[in-house]
Amino acid sequence: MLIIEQIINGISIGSIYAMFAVGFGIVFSTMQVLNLAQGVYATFGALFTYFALTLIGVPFWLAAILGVTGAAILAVIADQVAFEPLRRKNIGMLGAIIASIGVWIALEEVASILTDATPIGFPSGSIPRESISIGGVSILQTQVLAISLSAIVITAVYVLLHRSRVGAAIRAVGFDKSSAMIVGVNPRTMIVSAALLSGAVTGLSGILLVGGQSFNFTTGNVLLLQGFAAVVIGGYGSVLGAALGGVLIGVVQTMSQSFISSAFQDAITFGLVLVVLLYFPRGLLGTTETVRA
Amino acid sequence: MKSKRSLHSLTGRKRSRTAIVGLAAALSMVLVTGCGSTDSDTSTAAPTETSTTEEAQSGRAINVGLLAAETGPLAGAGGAFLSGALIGQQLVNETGLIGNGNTINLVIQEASEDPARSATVAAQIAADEQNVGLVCCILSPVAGAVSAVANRDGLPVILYGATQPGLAQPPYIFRTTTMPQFANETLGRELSEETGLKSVAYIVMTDNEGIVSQSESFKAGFASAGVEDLGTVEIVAKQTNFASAATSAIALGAEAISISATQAEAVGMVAALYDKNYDGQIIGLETLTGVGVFDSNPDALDKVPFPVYFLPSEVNEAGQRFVDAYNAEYGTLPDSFAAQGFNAIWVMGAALAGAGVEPTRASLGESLNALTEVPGTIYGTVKFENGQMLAVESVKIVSYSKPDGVIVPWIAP
Repeated sequence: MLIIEQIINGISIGSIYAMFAVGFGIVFSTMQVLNLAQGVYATFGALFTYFALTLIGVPFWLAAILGVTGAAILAVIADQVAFEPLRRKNIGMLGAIIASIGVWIALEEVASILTDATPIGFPSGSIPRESISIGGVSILQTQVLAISLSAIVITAVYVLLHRSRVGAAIRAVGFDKSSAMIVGVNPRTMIVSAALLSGAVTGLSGILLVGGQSFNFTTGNVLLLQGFAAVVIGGYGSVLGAALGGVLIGVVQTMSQSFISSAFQDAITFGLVLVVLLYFPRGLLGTTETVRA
Repeated sequence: MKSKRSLHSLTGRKRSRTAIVGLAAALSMVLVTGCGSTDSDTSTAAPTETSTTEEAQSGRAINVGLLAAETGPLAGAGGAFLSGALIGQQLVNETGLIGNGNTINLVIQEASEDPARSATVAAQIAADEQNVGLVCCILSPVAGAVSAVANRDGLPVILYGATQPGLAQPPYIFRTTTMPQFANETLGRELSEETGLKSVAYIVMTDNEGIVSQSESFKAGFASAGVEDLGTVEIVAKQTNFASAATSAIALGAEAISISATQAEAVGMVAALYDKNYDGQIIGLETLTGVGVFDSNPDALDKVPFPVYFLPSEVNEAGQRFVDAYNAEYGTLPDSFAAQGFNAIWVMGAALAGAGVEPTRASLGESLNALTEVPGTIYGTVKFENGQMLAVESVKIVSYSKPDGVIVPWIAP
């Protein structure tokens, strides 16, 4: 029973990693930006939800929608203010990384001011926190929510990116902006759309991460390393790969923490990254890149 | 090609210019050192009776550095420490604790509880000879970094928050942190005796040495009461999966679970155990105190016992004066972090009182080294052993109470 319960714990946290990784991966594959501020979007998703619950007093589901929307808009603003000027000047990835660090620090300071740097939590009773017992295995309602929402959202993102014209346009811009322009795609619109989608998904991951827990202005940062590792394991440009990577990391971390030692959980996670890269350099489900001679 | 005569002329003019510049430089040096000598002569000369009386009446502001942490991950606690320290400055000056008309002036520099930044800022403070001492350090790694600077520059330091054993190292490093280890051991022993506890499991943040030492003190306390240790579940800083650790801890089947972790992780673990319907006794560290902690998870934190040295509702005369001043300034009661910030400045003031009419780093260091006890603190009379303050009389077992989260003496269920 303990093993089953820990596997469920691992899938639950892995689902949150997966959602964050999908959001992280969208930015990376579309804009070629390693956005180190992505974790702060997760924090702001939870923050906006908290303020909606406490200041406006709406039900949790509506507060979560507002939180996700707020995180999405924040991601667009950050992209247009920090990254778009660099794209116009063709500044490479290094410049974008440095800019993302600036965005990270600035937004984290804003979050610190908004929360007075004190821990906060969703009001008592606003989020379902009961425990469900199935055959002696205890599962939290927040875990059921995390797993089911992640599955739905990641599936929706996959369908959007791979079965819709908007998704095709977003992927085209990520592949080759110039060629996309030739066929009538507006790159800026698609980049903004990608930022919006990335921010929304990341914001939702932040909301699910803190559900039932207290959190502070740095909470979202814990997702950054895991999300990056998930993208590397799953494969750049692959939504399903990032999702798979996230769940895999969640389960491996949980099992290593439970049955080996928590001291090694990060070492095991990134050891896994190295092993995957050795045998699957483009990730488990990474796409191959074709270059014409 | 220049003629020889021209070259000679040029060289001659160059030599003249050089001589003039050198003479001007020499004159400047004489003037500067002369002024400096005059100043130092004034400061080191035995004061005349008149000047002593004048200085006693007017006194002077004695600069003491303080590394603040109003930004960064510890901004919440850092703000409380700073708020308490500022009240400390106020009351030290209002009561004339230092004597000779002297007052304490805190030179506050933001360091964000980052070791590298704190060491740099500490070095800047040490470079200014006007600063005779330094107060700092919530985290043990920060204390270690600052201690290296202090030892190098001969700057007496009072640590007010770092809990790792062994940090107090006279002749320059002293600590007024109310050491949680003693409080934890007391809680473990007294709670076990009161409730008849038979078994306990531990959740420990193992990548923080200070926290690990605190868990060892819990174990010592429980062991002294004959409570069986059923095992330890390890967590880390920046823990993401509290449910997993809670599952492992509950599976050990203990009547109580003792959590040793920093604030965010401790609250996360308490909440996870609560969500998993753990029906045993959950026990926490002093890290559960702090502004906003209860409100972040009131249902889980209600009635979880933890030890403190300072409780605003049960204070002595000095403590009441502190509470009143704090409340008047900030409109709220001080927590144990604010109390530690206050007490550090109060002890600094007491040490400055023994450092002479015009305290220097050397005289302050001597005074701190000579301290064996300080009466009249908010913790009662405190003792000093090898630079470490001991406040054994003032440990209290407390818990939050719903609905307002007021910290009250804990009552066994």
